[in-house]
Amino acid sequence: MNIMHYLADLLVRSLFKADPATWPYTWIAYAVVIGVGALLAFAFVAIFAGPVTWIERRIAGRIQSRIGPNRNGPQGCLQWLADGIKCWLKEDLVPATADKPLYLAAPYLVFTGMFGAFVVLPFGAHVIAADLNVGLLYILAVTSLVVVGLLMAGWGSNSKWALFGGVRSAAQLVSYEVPSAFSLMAVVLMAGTLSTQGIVGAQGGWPWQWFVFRNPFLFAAFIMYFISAIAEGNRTPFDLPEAESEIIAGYNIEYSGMRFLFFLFAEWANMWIMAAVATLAFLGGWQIPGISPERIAEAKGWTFVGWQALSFAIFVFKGTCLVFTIIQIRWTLPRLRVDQLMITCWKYLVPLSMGSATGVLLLMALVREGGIVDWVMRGAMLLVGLLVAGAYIRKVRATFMADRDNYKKMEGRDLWYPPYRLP
Amino acid sequence: MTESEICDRLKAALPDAVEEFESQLLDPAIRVKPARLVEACRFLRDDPSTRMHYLRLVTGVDRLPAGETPGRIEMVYHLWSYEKRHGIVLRVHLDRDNPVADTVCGVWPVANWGEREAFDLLGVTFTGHPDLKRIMMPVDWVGHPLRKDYQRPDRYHGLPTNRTAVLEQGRVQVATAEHVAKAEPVSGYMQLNMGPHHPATHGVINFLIETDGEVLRRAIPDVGYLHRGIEKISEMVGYLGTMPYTDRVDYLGAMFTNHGWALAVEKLCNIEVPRRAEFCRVIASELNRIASHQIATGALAMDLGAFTPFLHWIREREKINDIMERICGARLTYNYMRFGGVSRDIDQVTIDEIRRWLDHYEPMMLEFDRLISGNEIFIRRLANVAVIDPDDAIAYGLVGPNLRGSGLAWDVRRDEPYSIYNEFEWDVITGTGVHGVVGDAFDRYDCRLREIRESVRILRQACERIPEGEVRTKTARIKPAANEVYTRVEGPRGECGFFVVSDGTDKPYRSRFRTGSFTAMTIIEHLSPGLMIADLVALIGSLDVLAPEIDR
Amino acid sequence: MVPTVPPAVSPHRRPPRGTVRAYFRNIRLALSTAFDGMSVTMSYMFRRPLTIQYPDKIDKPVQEMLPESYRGVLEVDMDRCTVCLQCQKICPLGCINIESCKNPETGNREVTKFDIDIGLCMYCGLCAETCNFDALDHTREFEATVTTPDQMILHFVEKPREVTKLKAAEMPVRKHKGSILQKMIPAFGRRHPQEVWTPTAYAAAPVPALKAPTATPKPAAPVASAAPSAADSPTPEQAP
Ligand code: SF4
Ligand code: SF4
Repeated sequence: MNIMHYLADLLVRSLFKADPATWPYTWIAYAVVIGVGALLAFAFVAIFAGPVTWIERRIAGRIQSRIGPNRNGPQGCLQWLADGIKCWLKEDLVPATADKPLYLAAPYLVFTGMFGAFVVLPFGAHVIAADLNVGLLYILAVTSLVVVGLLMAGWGSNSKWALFGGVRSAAQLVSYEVPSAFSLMAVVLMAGTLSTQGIVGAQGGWPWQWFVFRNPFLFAAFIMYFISAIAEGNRTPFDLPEAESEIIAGYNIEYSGMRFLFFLFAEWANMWIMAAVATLAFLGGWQIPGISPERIAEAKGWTFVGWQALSFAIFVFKGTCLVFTIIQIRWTLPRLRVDQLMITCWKYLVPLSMGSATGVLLLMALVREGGIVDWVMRGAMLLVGLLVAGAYIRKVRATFMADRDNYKKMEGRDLWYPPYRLP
Repeated sequence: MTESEICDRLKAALPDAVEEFESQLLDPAIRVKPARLVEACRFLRDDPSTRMHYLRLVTGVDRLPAGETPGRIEMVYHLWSYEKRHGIVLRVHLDRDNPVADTVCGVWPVANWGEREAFDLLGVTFTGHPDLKRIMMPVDWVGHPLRKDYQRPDRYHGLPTNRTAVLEQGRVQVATAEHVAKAEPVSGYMQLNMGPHHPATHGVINFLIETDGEVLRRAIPDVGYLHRGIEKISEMVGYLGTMPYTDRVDYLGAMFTNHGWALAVEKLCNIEVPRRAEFCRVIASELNRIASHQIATGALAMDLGAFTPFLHWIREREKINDIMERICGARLTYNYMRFGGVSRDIDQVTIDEIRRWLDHYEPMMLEFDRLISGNEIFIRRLANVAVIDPDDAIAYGLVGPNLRGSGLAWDVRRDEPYSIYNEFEWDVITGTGVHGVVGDAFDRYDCRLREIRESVRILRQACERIPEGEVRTKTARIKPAANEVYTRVEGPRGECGFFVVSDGTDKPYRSRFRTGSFTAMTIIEHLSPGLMIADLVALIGSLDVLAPEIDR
Repeated sequence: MVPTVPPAVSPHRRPPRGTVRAYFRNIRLALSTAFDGMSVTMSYMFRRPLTIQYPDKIDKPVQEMLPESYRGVLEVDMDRCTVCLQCQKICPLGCINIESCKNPETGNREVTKFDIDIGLCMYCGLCAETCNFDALDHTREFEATVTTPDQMILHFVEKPREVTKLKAAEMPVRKHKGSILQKMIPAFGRRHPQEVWTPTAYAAAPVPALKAPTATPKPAAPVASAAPSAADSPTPEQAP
């Protein structure tokens, strides 16, 4: 039972002392609860997308040996609010030759496409707007709406650079839908359901219960999904539609004020959606280690609320880690060229993701779940993951050490300046 | 071959073409008949004993009528042979009232822009030129500014052209854009203005591009947005007064323009430079070269979408700027060199600081390689893109890392030595085609990166060996006798040449700065067909063109 | 000697494309080099940033971090200037404007005008270099913000004053660099070296008194009073 359903029924029972199953006005209660839920989700998007802009700028700053915005509010944490208000107050320019209806509607379409996906994201054990039984399919479908919005923006602006951006993004999004769908298909095969809660439920709280470490094919599928998700979110190295050094800003070049903000809003919200989908499909979603979903469902009163909060926190934490990685990738890699973008998709990601889906199918047929081979595989994949993390830490440390003494000699100050030391 | 031998050779082949051999000049010149110019040029290029494939400089000098001699316009062509290592100056005298010359574009394509500039600024018409129109000045400009009797208009489209008018107005008036439409007739393909305010053009340059989807059909560079007429200014402010202006010619490599100008005047006036001053010059120049190459490589990475490497280089460059501030008092416009030395000594504290910085910097280069130059995406974006083969590179007058990227080992520091560079141990870097073909964009990028390492080597040796002594010889008033000189230094954007004509006064009669970016721009139109928009960005970045250096 | 030209197509570092090995090699290279790059960017999360938080969150004003040799706004110590006009002659832009005359009563030379247009000046240092009396020099000031273009002309002589006849060695010591300028433009006279400098301190800081008030010319405020828009910019008299 989903939390909104539960709340709506509770409302009907306690307020109107009626049985929600028979009461004729139950739908009003449902509508009210849905409205409130949508508002909450919107608030989450806003509150997430806003500070993430600030966090990204701070992270980018540190990566580039800068500080980043730190003046507006404590450590600049209100910067996003100031930017938002500034954009809101700015004039909403419409180019004289623009195709008005398309131009005006495009940002909303983009935003709707992004926002729609939030309906099926399972933020916690029961914190979900609607647990559709075609959840993943719904996400794939509804985020495709974005393409239409971007094309409309590119065409409606009646600017050649914007048109380039719009067409580039259409080509890119349509292409990368394929590998991302195939990678998710591997997960769907494993879970046997398209429902997001079902997929999370098929995993567990501990890393070896996550799909990503189940077998090598799923590990590969995770990486491929992550790459195509970055591409779908128009982030570097796939940010061709808004490549500022080639086509200046792409589809949003003519926009200003609030409509421009909507595009940015959508971009950052999309980043979260991609991270959330990767989390729920591969990284165990909101699962609390050691606590089974049944125990959460059976819990009463504050324990129930506590479990919900904890699972929510776990989900958001995992998602945020992925968001951080996306940000870091953005500030590390250069951009691909258009033909290379297509080559990456059609020559590499599509066949490989198809292969991984097939591989998962084969393993499902051959390996008994919980059997010795299964456990060996999980252990090996976990080991691989740990090794990669270890190599990463060693490299980071070596990079740091290469400069430490020389820097000290040059500047007379220590190079060590961990992220928690805020200037 | 010496110049007189070349002259004899030319005389033997085309006896009626040579008018006079001017051997009294510092760079001896052959005066040829205007009608036989192209023939002489073609001969000198193709003859197996001369093989002058490189047109170093084409420019004009306006001579007012003086007494008996009627006025004339001299077109000057500096030729050079990489193969034979010799050069010669050709000169034609044109009628001042109706100067017409034959174009040499057919012999050396690089002459295209040089002749356009002579047309624009001196009013010389070139018959047979493919695209003779103004290049620096606006299309509706009246007059030819480098003519000696040119009168500057007070206003242009209502904008005051001098400071007094600005002060009188009490505010700076901003142009009301009377934009001159530049688009060519409709061709059925998408036509776009890439620039003048485009993030990838590194300053204000405009590219008229014609695309078929993402693929370019051609890109036509349109320059002149940063034309400040420094050559004209130098005729007014004297030799020393021009020194600070040379900073503005190439603001990323001001040390080199300083150096070239100082060399030219020192050669005209026969001034000796003390040894310590030479070391100071080398140290400052090589620091500047590192800084400039950092901007070039970092900006290329930024054009390809990686922002972080650029800022990491900026971080290192910041330290160079600090050191420069200690050396000469400014971070960008150094104005460091003087005729017969440098303006200030480099003290021991600064030398120690340079050493400590070099210790820190060397691991940083490896880090940069790991961050970006080894990155597979980056390599794929540059390898095999915009390949320039050595013949093209010479014919289009590419110099510096762009030329060496095409595989030609030519470095002015080594091959036409100046200052004390031949005392140090260092290598000339050439493109090797590590990830693709020799002469591709990655090679040009790679050349710059490896040149930074060579500069570090030179710097270490120079810091070690710098002798005690004076840094500036006392010079009398700079007043060279009438003569002509062309000196060159190896700047970060290649050969940086200074052509100076003196007339016995304390001001240069004519000066012409030959810069690497100006010639590099001419090849873009030739290379662009078939590139993608993103490749054009990579091409511009890998050629490291700098708007102020193009326009001067 | 013919410059060495390597073969047009160099031996490829990688095996030729199109093979299965090249396919997987591409994947491996793409992932591993991206991984390498990310470890570099990650290490910067633990490294000291370069940024100096100009203008307020710094220990001392930026002017004091600059080396002595910095070429900032020019300043003239009129006690040392012999009005030799060398600086005026050498300036390529003509931004120094000096006028002098003979006083009919005393018969001494008097300088009536010593203007430097800092809006025109390009801080090349030629004038300071040519001054033999250490009178004209660059300071480390660079924040010369004014509100109208004519305020950018600094008047170093307010009232006609006698030109010194002393030899360079006998002249009074050169006043502390920057101390004269701090009186000229409101923005200059703002700070005490020791105090941590904040924008509020910037507005309220007292103008430090000159070292030897008797030796100075008239420490008046020529710039602002000459400007028509003096009313909307604080003059040095108002500042303390
Ligand atoms: S400032 Fe120096 S150079 Fe200028 S007039 Fe005075 S003494 Fe002469
Ligand atoms: S610094 Fe240069 S431009 Fe400024 S006044 Fe002195 S000589 Fe003139």
